[in-house]
Amino acid sequence: MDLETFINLFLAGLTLGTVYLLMAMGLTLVYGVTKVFNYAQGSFFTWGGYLAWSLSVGILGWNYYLVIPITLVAMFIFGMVFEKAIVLPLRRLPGWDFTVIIVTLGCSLALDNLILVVFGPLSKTVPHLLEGTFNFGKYAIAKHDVIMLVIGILVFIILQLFLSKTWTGMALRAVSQDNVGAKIVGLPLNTMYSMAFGIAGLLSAVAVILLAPRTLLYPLVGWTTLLKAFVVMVLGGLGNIKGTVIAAFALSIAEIYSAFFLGGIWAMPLFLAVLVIILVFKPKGLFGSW
Amino acid sequence: MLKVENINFLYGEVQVLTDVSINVEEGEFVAIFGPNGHGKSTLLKVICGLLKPVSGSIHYDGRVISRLSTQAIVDMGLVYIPEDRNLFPEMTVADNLRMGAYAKHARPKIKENLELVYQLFPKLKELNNRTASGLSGGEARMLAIGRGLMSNPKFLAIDEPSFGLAPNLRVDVFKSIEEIRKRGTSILLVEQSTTIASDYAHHIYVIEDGKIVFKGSKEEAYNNGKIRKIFLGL
Repeated sequence: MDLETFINLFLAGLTLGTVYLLMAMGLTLVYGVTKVFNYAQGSFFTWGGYLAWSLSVGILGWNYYLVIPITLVAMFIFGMVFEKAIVLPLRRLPGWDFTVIIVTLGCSLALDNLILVVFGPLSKTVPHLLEGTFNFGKYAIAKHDVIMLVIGILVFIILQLFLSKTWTGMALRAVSQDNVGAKIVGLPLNTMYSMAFGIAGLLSAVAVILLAPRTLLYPLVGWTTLLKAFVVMVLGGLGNIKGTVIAAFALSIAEIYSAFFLGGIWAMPLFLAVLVIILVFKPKGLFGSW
Repeated sequence: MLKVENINFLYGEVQVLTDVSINVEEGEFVAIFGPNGHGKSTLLKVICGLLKPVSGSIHYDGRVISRLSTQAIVDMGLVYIPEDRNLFPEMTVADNLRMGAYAKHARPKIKENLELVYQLFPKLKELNNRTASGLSGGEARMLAIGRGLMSNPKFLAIDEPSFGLAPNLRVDVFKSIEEIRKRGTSILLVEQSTTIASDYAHHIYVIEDGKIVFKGSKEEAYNNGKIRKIFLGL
């Protein structure tokens, strides 16, 4: 392998890592705040992608840079409504947490199949954020890859600032750290629950807009990403931000190199093997503290 | 200011509170004594809206609050400080205090209340950047009370403020609570058995098996042989 290939693969791994990171942050946030694992987040990813596609190149033909903010806002609202309509009513039942996990799984099957019925099984092509390449002497880097890295990291930093500096962000952390304490200081818990799902929807939409130009869109596109993000979350140690960052980039880079040497078909087995090894030997993740 | 009338509460089939009525006037310091597991904490949780009574009513500040959410009750200035503290373990002391001021009416007063908290508990200022999970029992207790004060309470319902504290700290905590009362906050607190709280209380209730078995002044409690022996430990 020459140096150029090595660097290109490394960059491909890094950019992929930002997508896993954003998806894992969505899962972690929802789990922390609502104590529920949201299987439907993969469908948030898929729906965000098909929405952006429909509004732009697919159906309506709107300017893609206009479509992006619309998609982000729409998926934020979609996440909030999903929580209010489906998760919140179940909270009052005994044993609700397990029920909710199964129901989000069911919803994700329904949402994905709705996509299949409406749009068919064929892949859709989503535009790059920027076409073309940056050229450095003999090296060329796709502009979209650079944008992926910049936006992915920027969104992650904004999310961290939001969680540590704003009233709402701190309230989300407070709810995840002590539910009763959060009630006692007068936090609106139901709003916080739907807010967490809304942010997961928003992060999924960013992730799909970054990744879909590379993988194309198909009805089950969200599942693959969801499962990989899940492994990232477990490897990083549930709720451990530093661990999640490291896990996201380590796994994505490993995925790209293994795809190069062994073939793309080995990506999923790699992730599942990591999951099994982690659960057996270090069930709290590499950096876990819960 | 707070009027609890004939509250009944059940955990499943078990009756925890039976026809409990208590009354706290504005500016008063009222103490409820009783052994562990006899419904004291449950009563405070019902008052602050964490638990809903099966029957009976709670009036606060001229409104019926027995069906309101804890959030709505906090917004009215009735603040609960739990025995378990329920701090936010991975947040710093400063952030815990800040979250105490989340309620809309508390935010404009955040500076003034923070000064009050630091004045009452200077230790908290030193610990500002420490995460709550690393605090000692006494420090966590101070932080729980401090966080409650940040909600700008007109009424504080405090569960066992001296539980698990060294004797000298107990005196300090009650002095601070009395200081808070003097600044215009009504106090309702529950304790297992202590003489310190009764030094400050205008009225004393004794709860046994979820029923109020005694109501009166400190002197009356001291003169009542059974109450004196069992609950005041004298």
